[in-house]
Amino acid sequence: MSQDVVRSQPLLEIEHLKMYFPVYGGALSRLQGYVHAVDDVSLTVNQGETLGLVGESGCGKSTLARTIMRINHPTSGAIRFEGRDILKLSPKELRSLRSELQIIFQDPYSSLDPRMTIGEIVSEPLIVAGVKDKAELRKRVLQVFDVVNLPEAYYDRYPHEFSGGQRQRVSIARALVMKPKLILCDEPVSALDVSIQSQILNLLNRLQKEFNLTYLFISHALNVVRHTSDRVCVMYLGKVMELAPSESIFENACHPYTNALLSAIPIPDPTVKRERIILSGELPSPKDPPKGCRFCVRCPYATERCAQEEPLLREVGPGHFVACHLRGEGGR
Amino acid sequence: MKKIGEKFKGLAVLKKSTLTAKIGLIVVVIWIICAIFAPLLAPYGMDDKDITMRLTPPCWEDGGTVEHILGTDEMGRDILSRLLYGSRVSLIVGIMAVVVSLIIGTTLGLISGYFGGKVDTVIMRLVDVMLAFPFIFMALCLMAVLGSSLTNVIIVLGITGWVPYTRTIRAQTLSLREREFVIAAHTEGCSHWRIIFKHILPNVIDNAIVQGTLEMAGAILSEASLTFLGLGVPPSIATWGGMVATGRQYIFNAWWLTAIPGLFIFLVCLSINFVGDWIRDVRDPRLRGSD
Repeated sequence: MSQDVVRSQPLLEIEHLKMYFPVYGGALSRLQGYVHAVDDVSLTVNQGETLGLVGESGCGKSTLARTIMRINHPTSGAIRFEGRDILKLSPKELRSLRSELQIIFQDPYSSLDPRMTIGEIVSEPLIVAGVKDKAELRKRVLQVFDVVNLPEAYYDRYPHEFSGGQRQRVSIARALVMKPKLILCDEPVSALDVSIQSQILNLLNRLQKEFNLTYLFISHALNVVRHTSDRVCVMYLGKVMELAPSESIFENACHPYTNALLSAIPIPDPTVKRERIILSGELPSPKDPPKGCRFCVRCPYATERCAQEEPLLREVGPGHFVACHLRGEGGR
Repeated sequence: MKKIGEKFKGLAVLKKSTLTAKIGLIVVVIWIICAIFAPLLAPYGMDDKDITMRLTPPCWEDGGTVEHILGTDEMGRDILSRLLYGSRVSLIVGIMAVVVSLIIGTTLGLISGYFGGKVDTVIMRLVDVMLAFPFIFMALCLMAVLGSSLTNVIIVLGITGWVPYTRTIRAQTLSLREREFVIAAHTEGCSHWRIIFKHILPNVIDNAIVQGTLEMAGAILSEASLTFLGLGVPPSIATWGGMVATGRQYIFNAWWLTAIPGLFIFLVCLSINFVGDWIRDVRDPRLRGSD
C-alpha cells in the first residue's frame, strides 16, 4: 500500500494481551467463568503500514480494537504506543493519547449521534481537547471536510439526512480531525454497499499516503483485506493463527483455518471450479475453549497432538508466522 | 445565535404541524391566558357566595339564568368564575409538579443507567420502595408534616412522581450507553458528564417530556385527590379538582358541579398531550425534515 515508507520502528506493540470477560449466572449471580475474548495475543503494527486483522464473528477482533482504545481494560498484558505503555497512563496523559489514536466504527448509522449536526460531531474531539475559539473550530472542521470530500453545506445538517457512505466519511472526518497517527478501522466497509465500499477503501488509501497514517484494519472479508493490507493477521477464538505479509498469506497460506477462509472468497466467474473447504461443526464457546489447538475440533487434519498441546507461533518464512503443529502437512 | 435560530425553526414547524397539535396549542394557550387574567375575565369573585342562587343549572338548562352561564354550586358561587380562578392552581400545580419530578427522575435515571453497578442497585431499590408505597398514604404523611399549602402540594407531587421518569430514562440510557456514538465519545476523551449531558440526555429527554405531559394530567388529578381529602390546597382557594370533589355529593341532582370542571380537566389534559407529541416531533431532527 505504501511501500516507500520506512517502517522500521513499531508504532503499536501488543504483548501477551488477554481480555477475559467474567460471566455471572445462576440465582445468586455467582462467577461462572470467563469469556476468553482475546487470549494471549502479541502483535506489532509498524509505522506507516496497514495490518489487516481477519477472522469470523466472535473471534475477538473488535474486542482487541476496543481494548487498544481503552474502552475495555485488559485482564493482563501490555499495549505500547510509541514505546509508552498506555495501560499505565494517568487520565490526563490518556486524553492526550486519544488524539493520536482514533477508531472508525463498523456501523455508520449508530456511530453518529442523531441529535448533533455533522459539524458538531466532527468538532467534538477538538472541543474536548480544549479548542474554544468558534472560528478556529469551524476552520479546522472544514479543512477535514475538504480532505474527505464533504461539502461545506453539510456542516449544519443532521446525520439522518445522509447515506451510509456519506456517514462513514463523517466518521472518518471525526477520526482525522485530531491528526492521529494510528487509526483502528473496525470493519469500516462491511455495513456499506459494494459500490460504496471501494470508494471508502480508496479514500482510506489516499489518506494514508497523504497523512502518513498507520491502520489496523479489521475485517471479516479477506478480499477487502487483500486490497488494503501490507500484513495480515488471522485470528480464531481469541488467538493469532497466522501472521504474514499480504502476498505471502494469499499465495502460501500455511494454517488450515486460513486456507478455509481463503477458499470462501467468492470469485466473480461461474466457470471457475475449485475445491471449497467447508468447515464442519460450530465455533466452540470462547467461555470454554478447546484445550490444545483452538482450531482442532473443526480442523480436517487434526491429530492427537493437536488436541493435547497448544501450538505456538513459529516463523516458517520471512515474516510469516503460523501456529500449527502440521505445518507442511495441513497447509498447501 | 444558533439557539435562537432553532427556536424560530420550531415556530416554522408550527405552520406545518398536525391538526391535533394546533388544537392542543390553542386550548393550552387559552388556558394559560385564562389563568393569568382570571380576575379580569371572571364575572364574579372566586368566593362570592349568593346562597339564594345556590345550585342554579347552566343557562341552557331549565331554570338557568344568563347571569350564571355555567350555573352555581352548592354555596351559590358562580362556576365559570371558579373555573377561571381554578385554572391558575391547575396550571401551577400541573407544570411545577411535573418539572420537579422530571428533574429528579431524569437525573436519577441517567445516573442509574449510565454508571450502573452499586449506584444503579441503590436507585432501583429506592424505585421499588416508591412503587410499593401507596401514593396517597405517602402524600398524606408528607402533607400532614409539611402543612397544607399550594407550595407543599407541588413539593409532595414532585417527590412522589419521579419514578416513571427514572425507569424509562434508565432503560433508554442502558441501551444508549452501548451505542457506538457513545463509545466514540469515550474514545474522543469526553468526560462522563459531557457524555451524559451532550450525548445521552438529548436522546432521552424527549420521551420524558412526552411522559411529563401525560403526568401533568395525573398531577392535576392528584392535587384534586389531596384537596378532596382536606390536605391539599386550602378549601378557600378554588381548584378544578376541588370542585369535582365537592360536587360529588350532588352528582344525582346537580350534574354540572362535577361534569363541567371534569370536562375542563379532560380537555386541558388531552391538549397537553397533543402539545407534548408536537414538542417531541419538533425536537427530533429526524422528524423535523430538512429545509
